[in-house]
Amino acid sequence: MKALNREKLERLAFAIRRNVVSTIATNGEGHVGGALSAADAIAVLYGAIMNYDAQDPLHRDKFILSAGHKCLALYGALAELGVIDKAELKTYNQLGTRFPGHPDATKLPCLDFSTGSLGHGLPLGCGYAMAARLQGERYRTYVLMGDGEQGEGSLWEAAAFAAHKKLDNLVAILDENTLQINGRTSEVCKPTDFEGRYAAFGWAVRTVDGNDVGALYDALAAAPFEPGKPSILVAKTVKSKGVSFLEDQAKYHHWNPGKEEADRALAELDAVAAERGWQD
Amino acid sequence: MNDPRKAFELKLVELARKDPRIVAVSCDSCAGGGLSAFFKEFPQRSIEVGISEQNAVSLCAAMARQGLLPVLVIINPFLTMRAYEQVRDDLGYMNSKVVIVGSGGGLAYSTLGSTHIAVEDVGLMRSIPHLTILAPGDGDEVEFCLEQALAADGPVYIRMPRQARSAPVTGPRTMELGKAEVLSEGADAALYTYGPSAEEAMKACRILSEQGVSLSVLNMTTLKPLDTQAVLAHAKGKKAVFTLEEHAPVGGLGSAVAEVLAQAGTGVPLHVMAVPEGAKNTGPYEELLAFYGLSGQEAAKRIAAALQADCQNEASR
Repeated sequence: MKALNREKLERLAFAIRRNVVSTIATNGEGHVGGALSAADAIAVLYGAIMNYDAQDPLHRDKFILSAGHKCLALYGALAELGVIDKAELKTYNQLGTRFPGHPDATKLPCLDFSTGSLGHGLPLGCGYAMAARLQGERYRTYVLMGDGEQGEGSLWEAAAFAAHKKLDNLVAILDENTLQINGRTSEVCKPTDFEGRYAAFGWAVRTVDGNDVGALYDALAAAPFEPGKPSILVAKTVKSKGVSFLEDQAKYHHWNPGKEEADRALAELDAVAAERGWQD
Repeated sequence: MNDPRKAFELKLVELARKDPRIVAVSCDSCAGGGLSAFFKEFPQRSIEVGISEQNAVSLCAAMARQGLLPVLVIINPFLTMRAYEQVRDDLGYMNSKVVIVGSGGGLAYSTLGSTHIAVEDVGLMRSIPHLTILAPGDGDEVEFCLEQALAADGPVYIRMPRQARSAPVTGPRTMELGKAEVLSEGADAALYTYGPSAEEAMKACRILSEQGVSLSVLNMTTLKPLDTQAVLAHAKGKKAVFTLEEHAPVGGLGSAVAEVLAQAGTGVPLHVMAVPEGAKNTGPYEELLAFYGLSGQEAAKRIAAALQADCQNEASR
């Protein structure tokens, strides 16, 4: 784990967003909303929290993007870290790309596991956490989930297992951007708050502004939140955070911009870069 | 050993003493699935997941990525059907080295009702990439399959029998991964089978032999990859070929053999003896086999009738 450098993490989160938007602008449709809401959490994990070594899959901290459709943010982070060649992102959506619309670890060994079908990530995370215990490894396992994804039963199987086995080397991040394809998660299916549900399952729960890198860092650096319990950080986020006209609208879960929208989004990001002095 | 579950239990412990990577995972299936001895001897390598099959499959996939060798035992339909997508995505597409064991394949839970019958599993599992499918019938085959499964590359599905069966043949066996075991060689027809049906197939073979009909009987313990060479070699020159299995007509060995014969353009008539689609009858195992025409005695009748009908059809042309 590195010390908090807020400016650096904000810049990384911005660069991830820029990669997300420019990849879609250049190559067509993609899941922009979730990628942008989760960009800060992914920036904090890869930029400061995780002990990540692309060449050492066995011993590094693990990251499972359970909400695999947010993968443009993950690709964007790996590009900024130099793990993948940013130029290769231009193959996105093209035949034979190593960057499909949901992440494929058989194409990118720098990833820990392929995901895409919702509800697989927490069970996979339990597997890595159990393996660490059995093999005496010190790595942590981080699983990033969506809030719409909380409807998947397999995830609650794993939630019970993780608490029962006291997997305090497992840290989940719930990117609660409050929207899924069909509208507000609270209107689609959300009978109770997530904090209460996970607490009832025996998890140590914290809530944070999920678009504030400093708050995310402070919370994740404190994991496990309680010894002997798996930790979950409920990250309250804004869908499509960072591009004003896409923000907080279910219809931008998946985005296929025309030239006008693409140019507008990129111009907005360019203005932020100019204001913060973050031009390449 | 005749009891397949006991054979599995003892063999797993024997292999685990030599291989510290082996981890046993139970979905409340420890005692029923033959994991009790392992759990007792290797508590540190034993994981009880509870009744949560989807979680169990993904959990095993991740552990395999870290170099562990999970053996996951679940009652058959809850593994092959409830957790199907986890098997496809996390084991098949990821080529994860996990051994999944579906307890009670076919009609094994013959009295428990249709929810516990597994007669679609082979069809489902056959379409999973990288997955080897092994279907033992008696205890010796179970031991062989478990050892092979742990040594093989990639994920392996073992369709476990439940009832204690006699070996289909007496004397030494010639089991080999990926190869059909020729139980009998005959001139008139070929009968392909696997699992507990192999014993029934040999009963049919003996009955028909007394009637002057000689059968080749092939035990296809490795269902995938199927020994297509053996299928074609033994179909050659036969009046007809037959399959006998505790599986639905769609997707099982009958389908697999049909694919092989048709693609090779053999033109030999194929008769699939399987559990009828949607069949939900329950009862004592042996009686249920007979009810569906899958016992040795019933299979012999069906084979004799089919050969006669094929013969008449041929004459009328």
